[in-house]
Amino acid sequence: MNILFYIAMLTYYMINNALFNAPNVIARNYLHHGLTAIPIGLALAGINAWLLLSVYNRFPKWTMIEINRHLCGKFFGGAISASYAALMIIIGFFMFRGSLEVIIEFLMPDTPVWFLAILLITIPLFGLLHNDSTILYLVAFFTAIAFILMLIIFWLGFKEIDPVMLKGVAVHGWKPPTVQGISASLFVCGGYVGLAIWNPFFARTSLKATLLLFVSVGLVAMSCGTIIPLAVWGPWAIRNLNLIWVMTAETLSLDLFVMERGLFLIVPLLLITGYMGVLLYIYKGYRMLDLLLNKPKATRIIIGCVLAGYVVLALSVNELKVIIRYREQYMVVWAVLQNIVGILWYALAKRKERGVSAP
Amino acid sequence: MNEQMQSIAASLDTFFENNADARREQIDAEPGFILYYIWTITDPDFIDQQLKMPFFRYSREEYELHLRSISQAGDKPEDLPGKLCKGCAVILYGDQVYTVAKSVAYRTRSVDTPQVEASIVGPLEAFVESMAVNLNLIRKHYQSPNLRIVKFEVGTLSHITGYMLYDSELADQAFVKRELQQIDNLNAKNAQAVSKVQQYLPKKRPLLFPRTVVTERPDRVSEALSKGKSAYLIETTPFASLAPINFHDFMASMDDSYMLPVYSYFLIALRYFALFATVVLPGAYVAFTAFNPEVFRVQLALSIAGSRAGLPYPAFLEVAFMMIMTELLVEASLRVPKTIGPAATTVGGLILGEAASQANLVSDIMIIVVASVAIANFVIPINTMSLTVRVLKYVLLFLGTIAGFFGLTVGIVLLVSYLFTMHDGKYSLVQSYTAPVKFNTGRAPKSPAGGGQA
Repeated sequence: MNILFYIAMLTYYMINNALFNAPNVIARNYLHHGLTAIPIGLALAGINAWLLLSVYNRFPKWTMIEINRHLCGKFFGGAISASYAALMIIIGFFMFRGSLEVIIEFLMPDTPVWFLAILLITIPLFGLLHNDSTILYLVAFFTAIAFILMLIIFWLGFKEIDPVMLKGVAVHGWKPPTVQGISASLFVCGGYVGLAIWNPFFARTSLKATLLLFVSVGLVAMSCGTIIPLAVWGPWAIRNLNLIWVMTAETLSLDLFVMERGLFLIVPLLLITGYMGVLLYIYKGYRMLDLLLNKPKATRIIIGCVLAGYVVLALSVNELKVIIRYREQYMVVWAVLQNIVGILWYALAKRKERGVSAP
Repeated sequence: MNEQMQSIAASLDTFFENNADARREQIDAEPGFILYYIWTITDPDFIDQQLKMPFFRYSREEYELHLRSISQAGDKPEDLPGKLCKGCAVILYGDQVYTVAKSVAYRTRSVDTPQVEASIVGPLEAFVESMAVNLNLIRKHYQSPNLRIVKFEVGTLSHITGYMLYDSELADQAFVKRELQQIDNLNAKNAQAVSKVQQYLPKKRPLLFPRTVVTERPDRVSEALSKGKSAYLIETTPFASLAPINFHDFMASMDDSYMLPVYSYFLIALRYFALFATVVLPGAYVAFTAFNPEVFRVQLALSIAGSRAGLPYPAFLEVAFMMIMTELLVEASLRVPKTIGPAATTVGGLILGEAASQANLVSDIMIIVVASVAIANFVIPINTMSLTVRVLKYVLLFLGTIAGFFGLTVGIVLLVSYLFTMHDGKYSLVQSYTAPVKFNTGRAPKSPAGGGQA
């Protein structure tokens, strides 16, 4: 499959997380923990991508499930695959609830949450009609729109930067980062996780293209995504914000023919990335379970229950701060697992290779 | 005549009993010459000059030779009624049965200008309800020796003849084979139009989006053949169906390839904009007036609110009322006789536009929206997609009505998502024909050892 779809998948992750995940974690504490999280996270992502891609490219016809079985054995490999599937489903919920929060707060404040949740759940439900290639096309289509919207938002955001605040960011932003900050910035570049399903479509995946994308899109999106809100709001005001970019966009003044509020540029972007996020994570979870269990009907029933669980959970978990805190912890767990698996895979693949080549 | 011939004659006589337009002519009793044909679908000149008159001019041996040269022998007796219904003449001569296919003469109109797919700079020929004329037009436009024409029959009752065309060098042979198999397995009783046949060809009957492009233009068929697509035509319809296709085929006019690039790209962009506008505008009107007026700048929001100030009902009723009225108007203008069509549309347009607005039944802005939607709908060059879009806007209108801007975006994503799932074999509706889809890699192998390793 064309490498453009791989680039689109990575870019989608970067846009989504650079605007709606990482800034919350990094920006709120930048005076204490620093913007250094961005380059450190990027470097870690680069190393992790190198380790994983070298293994994925060694098994170009296999998904993560088969590679795990081959390298780690049936049970341990199965456990790793299952934990990845679970992580996909969990982050899917965070995306789902996050998107719902924006909808409730800015679009439909008077409509019952259960109704909005059911309507939103139709998108991942429809995702089950897709196959591995069509979903990539879909993501590429919406990524192109999201990318254009992101550029417009950044352009408008730059114009609102307060030079005094920017100076503060430049002076105070370079102190040792927290694990949460590093995990959040590593998460921005984590689109290559998609190879768990799509490795047979992209192999042999280009490491050069991946790293180039980390630096060109990832670094720029993450830096702008974090620095602009900081330089607009300042260190104290930003601590009290949950939806940092939504509130930042609300401060943007624009004269776009029929619109005058920047909020309604960021809301479509947020909805697109939110919808695609829920769809993509659920689909990945579904496909991983499908490959793992090899029982399509059972997998569909499980995913159906998961989606029903999303709706129920969305009604009970309604404190945005709590969701953001859990998401921070999730990103730490994900980053740790990702790095452990990267090293483990690489070591085991090397060992197997030596075993095969030994006389 | 021997006994077998007499029994065939008896069975044909029985078949002719309740067919008022069937003719049985006993030309000569010895050695036995009976001519059967259905005069409404045969050429009377051919019957006289090629079948009857030579009998009196030639010797018996010469006439037999003549018959052999224009007919085929050896048809099974049970096939003869079917042959007669297809316009053949059946001759019982001596101890032989001859079937003459050249006598067929279906009435058809002459080649006309395209009625559905107009062109400004392209050829002005369109298909008619005659396969001979249609194949002639295609062969004129596509003079490649690689053109292959496969004959088939559709309709378990109607037995309509059809042809599948493809370029043997360019077409995907597996796809062509599968299409022909599906045509063979087609279980439609009466397939009169190629649009009906195309509904039954895929394994799952399409609900919303057509799976083939139906065209009346030979140049479009020629273009499709040169891109490796296949076309099929059936006798009774002036349209050809093209497959496999992608979504852009619905939005492309033949003029695009005839005009200068900048102009044609501009027109293509315009059509996509029209598609978006016609699908989204009605839903967006309800979403932005009833749920999220804050999206617009204040002046515009106030202007819309002012325009709706005197209306006694909510925005969605206003839109639904106007949309349905417009649909009725479009449908009426299609069905009424052409002489009163313009009058009906003018009267309807005036009532809907001017009078409804003055009576405070709809807002002025609503009229602009409805007019834009209707005009944009007709910009889509392929009629089947235009009809699909006519329905789609109601889906988004419904979602915009129940959940405002959020519902509208969900609807758009669902529609796009559904569109991306559509495929015909390995050819997806949204992907390039030259880059077929790669599908799921399948189930995980039971044993990890094996061919995955590089």
